[in-house]
Amino acid sequence: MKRPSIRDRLLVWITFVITLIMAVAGTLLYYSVKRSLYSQHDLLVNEAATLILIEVKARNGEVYHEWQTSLNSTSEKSTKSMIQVWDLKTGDSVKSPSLGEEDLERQYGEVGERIFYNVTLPNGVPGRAVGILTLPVKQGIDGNEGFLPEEHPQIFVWADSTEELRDVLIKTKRAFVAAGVAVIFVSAAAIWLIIYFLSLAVQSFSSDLLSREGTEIGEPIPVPDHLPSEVVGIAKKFNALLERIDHFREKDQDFFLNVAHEVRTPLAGVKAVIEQALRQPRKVEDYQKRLREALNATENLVRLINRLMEFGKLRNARESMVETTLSLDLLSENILEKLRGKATENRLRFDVSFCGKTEIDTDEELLSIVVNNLIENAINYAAPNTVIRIKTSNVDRIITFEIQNEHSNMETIPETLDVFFDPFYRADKARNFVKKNIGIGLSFCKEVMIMLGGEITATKSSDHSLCFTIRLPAKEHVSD
Amino acid sequence: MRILVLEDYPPLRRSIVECLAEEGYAVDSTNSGDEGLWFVRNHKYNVVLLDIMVPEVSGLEILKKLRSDQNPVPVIMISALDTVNQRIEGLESGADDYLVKPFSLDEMLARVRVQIRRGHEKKSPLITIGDLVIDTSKKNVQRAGKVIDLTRKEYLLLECLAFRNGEVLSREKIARQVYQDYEGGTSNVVDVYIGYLRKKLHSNDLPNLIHTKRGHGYLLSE
Repeated sequence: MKRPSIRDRLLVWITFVITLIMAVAGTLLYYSVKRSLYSQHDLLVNEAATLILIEVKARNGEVYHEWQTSLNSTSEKSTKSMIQVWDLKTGDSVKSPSLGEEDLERQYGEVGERIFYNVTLPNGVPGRAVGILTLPVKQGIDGNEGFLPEEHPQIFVWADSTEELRDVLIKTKRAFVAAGVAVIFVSAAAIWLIIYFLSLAVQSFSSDLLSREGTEIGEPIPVPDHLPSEVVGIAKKFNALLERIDHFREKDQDFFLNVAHEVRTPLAGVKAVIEQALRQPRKVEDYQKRLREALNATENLVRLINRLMEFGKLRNARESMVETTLSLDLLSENILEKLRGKATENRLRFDVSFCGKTEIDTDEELLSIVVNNLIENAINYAAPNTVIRIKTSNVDRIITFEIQNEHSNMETIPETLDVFFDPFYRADKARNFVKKNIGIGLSFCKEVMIMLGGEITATKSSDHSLCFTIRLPAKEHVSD
Repeated sequence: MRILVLEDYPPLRRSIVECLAEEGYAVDSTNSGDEGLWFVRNHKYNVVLLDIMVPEVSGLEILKKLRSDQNPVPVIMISALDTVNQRIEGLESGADDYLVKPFSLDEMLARVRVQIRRGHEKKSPLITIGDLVIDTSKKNVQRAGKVIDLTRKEYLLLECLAFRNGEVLSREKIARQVYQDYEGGTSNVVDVYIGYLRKKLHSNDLPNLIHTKRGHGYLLSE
């Protein structure tokens, strides 16, 4: 599928918008010019009509069209003027010679009111007319006694060609269209150039990205100074993403190195036992003893591999999670009972404080693993003759389980306690086969807590104690 | 030759110790970093096999402490950590060699022998003193072209003297280097074995190579 280009889209849309603006502005301007020209024309028509209008007179008790006489005796231009006057009462009309047999279209309003309108003149050309309802002007008193102008209303229409005006408007329209098209083309070219030059930095950045090898994940992309600020944010985000990928790659790499390392020692033990057994002929009992030792050595391997398998399965276990309602207090109490003997062996005592309101909807098996791990760790690492404190609480519908113990070797505890949850992290660099510590228990707990929608944290206090806390949302109460 | 093995994984430690002991080395072993450091500071070893990840004090810390004490004992790091950086870190901390788990016991023995020779500034596994030739890799002894059959203890005693030929070694020093369970004292076990060696080496009127320095000990020289 061909992906749309931002550059093309920008060009098309900006050009479209400019075209639209030009079209609207051009049209408005054109009509404004047209209106202005017509107003000017109407003004002239009105002036001419006003002059002629007074020549509709009452003489000797009759309506007398003096303008006709004037028209015949004046300039050639005047003879081109088209005038027609109707007697509203009789319907008779008199008109200028230029009209010939044709009549003008008539429109009128109140007496003296000017009505301007477009007409088609008898010769077929467009024109502009003004229609006025008027009353004849009495010329002298003699003979006009008893003549009432109101009884002889006249419709006066004066029309003139607007052909020249039309030509001017056509030229104006053409000029506007030509200017508009030119502006659109120039704008489009300018926009294209601007976009092109602006996108050069982005293109070069994008080429840098494309030319990167798959192995260069950890290397951040150089962000050039001329890169537009909008892209800088993306570049920085991308670099941050690269860093995170690199971090996770390193973690993965460390994980596999650690796995290899953890597997190697028991494997070396098995190999050495067998090799040593075969170095010289020995008694059957001796061989049996060595084989037993090799078998025992494989137990570490099996334990490690089982843990790794559980760890691997965890990520796919979400589908197989079985959610039940359980009490964290009860679950912890059961685990405590199982481990109490071991704690006594290590001369440790429990101080337990359960809040009693710890109902949660969760996978019991997975949560048991976490609680078991935390209590077992506390037993393994607590200083002898100390107290392991366990507390649960329910605050704002968040269930908390805290386990706190005095650590036997606080000097080895790092400043950043998050490393506890890294696979194969050990507080002391030395392995301890006596404690059977594999080093993935806490990272396993963290994975489980993420799956259960909760969290696990570690804190240390100045009194040489280490505290692990898990938090889970309380059971949702269904209203009846 | 006395060797210290510091490894916390019991099956591996036991096999290494047994293998070295069967080869005739006197071996001390421990699974604790603290104890290992005490051993190496208070005894003289020809080689130390040092695991990096041991409880209490890590192998690397032990090594750094030894080198800061100016202790030149040859140290072979044994570790499951095998990346180049980890090897470099081990070697730069003062290790003389680096053995990655799982390793072959034969390879371990070969490397131990190299370190012992290096400790005595011998580049070749053959030590020649006059017409006496000792092949330390094959544990084979010839005098005037003739193979001499020695027991393990006799061979170890001869090798101990040969590595320091021309140097007088006290009975106690010899006993500590050669005998696994020597705890000091007045045992004449060294004198007895010197006697056996002389009989085997000096037969057919060949000149005496093992000389007694009264009140001081023995030396091997032409």
